[in-house]
Amino acid sequence: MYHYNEFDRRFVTARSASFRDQVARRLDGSLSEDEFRPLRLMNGVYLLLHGYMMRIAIPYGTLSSRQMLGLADVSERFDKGYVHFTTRQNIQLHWPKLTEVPDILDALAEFDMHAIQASGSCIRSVTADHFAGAAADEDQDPRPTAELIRQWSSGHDEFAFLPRKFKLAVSGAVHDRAVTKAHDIGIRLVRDAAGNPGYEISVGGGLGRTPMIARVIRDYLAKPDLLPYLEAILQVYNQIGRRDNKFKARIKITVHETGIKELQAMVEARFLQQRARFDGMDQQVLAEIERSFALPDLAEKPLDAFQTAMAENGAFRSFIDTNTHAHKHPEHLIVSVSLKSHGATPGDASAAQMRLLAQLAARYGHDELRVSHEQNIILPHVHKADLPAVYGALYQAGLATANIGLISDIIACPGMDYCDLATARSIPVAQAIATQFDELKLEHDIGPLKIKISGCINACGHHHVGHIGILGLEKAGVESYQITLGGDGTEDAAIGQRVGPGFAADQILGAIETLVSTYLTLRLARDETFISCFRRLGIAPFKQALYPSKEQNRAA
Amino acid sequence: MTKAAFASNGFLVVSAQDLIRGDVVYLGPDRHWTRHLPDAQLFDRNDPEAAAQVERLALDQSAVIAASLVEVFLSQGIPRPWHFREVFRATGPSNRFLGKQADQRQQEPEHVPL
Repeated sequence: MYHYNEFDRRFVTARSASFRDQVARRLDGSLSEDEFRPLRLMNGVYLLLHGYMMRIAIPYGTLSSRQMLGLADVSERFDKGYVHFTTRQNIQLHWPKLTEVPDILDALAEFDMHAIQASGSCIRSVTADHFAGAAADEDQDPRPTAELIRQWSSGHDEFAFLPRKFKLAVSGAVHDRAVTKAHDIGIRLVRDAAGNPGYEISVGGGLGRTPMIARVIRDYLAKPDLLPYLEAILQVYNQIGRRDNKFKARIKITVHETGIKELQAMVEARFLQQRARFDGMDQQVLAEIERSFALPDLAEKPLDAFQTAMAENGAFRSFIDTNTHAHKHPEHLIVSVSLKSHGATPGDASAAQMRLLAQLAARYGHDELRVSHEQNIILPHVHKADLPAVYGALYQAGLATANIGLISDIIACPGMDYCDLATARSIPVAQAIATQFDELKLEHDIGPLKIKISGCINACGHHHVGHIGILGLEKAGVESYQITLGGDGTEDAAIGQRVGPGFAADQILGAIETLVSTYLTLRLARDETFISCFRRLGIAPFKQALYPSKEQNRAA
Repeated sequence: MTKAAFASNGFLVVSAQDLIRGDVVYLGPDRHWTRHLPDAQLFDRNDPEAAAQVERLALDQSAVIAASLVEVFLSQGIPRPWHFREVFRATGPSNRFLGKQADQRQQEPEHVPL
């Protein structure tokens, strides 16, 4: 993986020193709250319901063991001994004191981390496929591109005050695990007819109050043209993106209002100017970055212990079947460690759990960890021979829940339990669903099913792209939950359709049970997944099941 | 709990967040900040002084920020917000026993059931 050079280190240390000074000036009254707020947001510090929240960037979700250990220490020294992994592959501390944030930034800098690009109307921390560099279905590793984007976008003066936040995601595999189509710019590594590597660029995707699937603006862009092309998009957006209305300021609205063709013409014209300004230095940097992302040296080992465990230990077999993914190297597997044990808060990990994950990565996983946007932790390179030991250690720590991709592997934003913007809770809804289906022992029978829950219209919980999406709203002073069906965040990206009127907090679990039992009744065979069944039948039978009376159907 | 309870038996409380800790505070009768809603000064819901305090705090953010009014009603003599968002602010998250509910000095409002 990429390791900081002297320039990177000076950059984050200088930022930390500036923020220490800014906090001191806020406390002595030299800076007003209005002046200080954008400065704290530039360092990932928000004010939420119970206090400050600090979001720490994990560019493209990649962590070393040392960084995971460092984060565990930070969570104990400065917070309450746990962290929350977010749907943008970052982490959040929910209880820091403002006066300690500069110390946290200093501590983070010691292991090459920071909170830059974690907030504000700038290019946010770039995300990528969490199986990058390991997945069997991958053609090109997205991490070098993501790292190039990180270096280019960090502190990019021209794009420090965009109309609104700007998110990029990169994927290089057949399957899109990075939800690229729901990003301001989605980048897929592709090849032209001659096999030359390049990029497909999509623009204008996003969730929130106006969900939109990104449109392809360039179906093939040669590799050296990436940064000038991105600059061209950003420059056009910076110029014509709407600053008059916060709710219309994202580039998805620009694409919608301008039209993709006209926007494309503007971007292409700008691109020709920008390209002339690039002298090839970025490609030299990229070549250097690519060397640091070489596949680790994957040794061969005897597989007897793995085969024995598979034959004799049903729980181990279930874990392998559910929580591992095919690796480029046939003797290795990608292990997803679920942070969704039934009833737990999705995405939360204690310092002790983080330390164990760091130790396992160091001992069995070539020192690499990934954070998935689905709020789980990935060990990307584990030899099958080591899996019995890895599984045993995870099991002891309560981290061996075999539910990846199943109904209890729910994305949930922090919701009203923590978030200032939330209109309802997300976490307890996820906990209730996971607990109930675990008690019913049904989730393996139900099969792949993605439930995603947001506690407000801003959609941090990606509910629009959940097979079942749940949106928490307030209705007449109580929590109310709206259901969408048929969303998809993969290469078949789709926005879910609203099924009807919302459900009260004490009804939402029953509604989900109704949807699942309807699916189980209607599926053609066990291998017809929920989303396939929905695509075949449409929303009608699910709507009928949820709202059996005609009157309710009319109201929907 | 509904707004009707506030309408019939309602008071206003001045709330804000501590500049350094960020946690929720309430204006007490002695004009000091308290971390506990039961210790807050109750303003009559028609008393302009409550809104005047919030306006004053918008101009002076040296110790607290994000000042706002909280609508409460009395339940067995204890002020309770009618809106569930304010119950969360007065109590803490419902998924972890952290925040004000973990401070046993005072009885905080009962949490919101799912």
